[in-house]
Amino acid sequence: MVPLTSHTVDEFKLTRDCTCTDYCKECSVEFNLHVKCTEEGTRTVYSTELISSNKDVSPVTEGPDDKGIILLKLRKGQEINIHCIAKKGVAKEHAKWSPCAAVGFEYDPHNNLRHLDYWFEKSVKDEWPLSKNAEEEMENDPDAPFDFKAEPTTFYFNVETVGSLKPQSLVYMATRVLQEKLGGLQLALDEDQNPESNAMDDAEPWV
Amino acid sequence: MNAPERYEMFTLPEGVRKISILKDPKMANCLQFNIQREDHTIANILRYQLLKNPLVLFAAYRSPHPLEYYVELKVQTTAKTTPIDVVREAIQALMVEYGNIRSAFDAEIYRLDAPTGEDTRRTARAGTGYGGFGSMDAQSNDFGSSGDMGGRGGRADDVDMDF
Repeated sequence: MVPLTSHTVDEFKLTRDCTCTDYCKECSVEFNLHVKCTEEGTRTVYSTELISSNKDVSPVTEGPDDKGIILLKLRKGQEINIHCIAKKGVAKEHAKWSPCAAVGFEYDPHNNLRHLDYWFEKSVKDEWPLSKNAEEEMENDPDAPFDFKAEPTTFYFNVETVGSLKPQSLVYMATRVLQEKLGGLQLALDEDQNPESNAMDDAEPWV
Repeated sequence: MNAPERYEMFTLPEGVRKISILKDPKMANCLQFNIQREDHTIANILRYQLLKNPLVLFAAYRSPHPLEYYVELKVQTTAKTTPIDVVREAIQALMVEYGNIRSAFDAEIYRLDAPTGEDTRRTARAGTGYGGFGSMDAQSNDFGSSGDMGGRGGRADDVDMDF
């Protein structure tokens, strides 16, 4: 799978919602690839050789020298001529649409809250190295009485993307998506309050 | 072969209500919300937020079947309020919370990207506090110590007034 730079993703529609019948530039990006191997040996075709129809959407590279991902290899005389369509989607439908490679999550690196019960042979301290996040917090005094009501307040996330978006935008978009989902629920609840659209009419009043 | 299309997981079919509300015949002040096309993402945070409300006696959700794309959220409250109201409040509180997280995150990104920014990341930990709320000055605005973005209440509320 070839990640595509997606910082303009909000400008695209989902094909499902688009007015076009098949695909159009408002809901998709076209890529063309035409390579023929004429020399001896193998001709490797990289993702950067895909020619995009949209200047903002192109295969992700690690820098100007990076040729991208190997798509295929041709021997002498072989030729490929393909036309690809990239569409917008949601990772719930298929993981290929996920910009997220990995998310790390941790809280309470010193185990002050004792949510963990470490297994150890001789000493917990020696056998369980602290994570980097431990620098951000103080360890509780081991002799102090245990505050059983304490709750975690600081959470550490490590976000890694596949390159299609910056991790910053990913976090930003995640909060936005959650808000949109909640907003949808709120709207739906308001509708339900409207007696005309309410199927509960004939039932007894709630409560 | 007869598996439903994947997109049915998140597209609400025509004529289907996003939330249908059922009354629980056996419990007083209890409603069941069947939320279409949502999953643990929403149901779990909603349940968690509801349980923080002292007026909520019971709040739980379940996802009845992996191929039925809805969740059931059951809420019982004291007589002082109604399940619908507490769910509304919970949604509102969560929206605010995510807004606060985002603005705090934004401010931190801004601080890191600031051209003058020698790294102001805190060297001392807890208790450094963050100075200068009124200003957009990247130097004085040490949002880095507002580590409890994910936490609740209090100071998260004043985070967004800069923006």
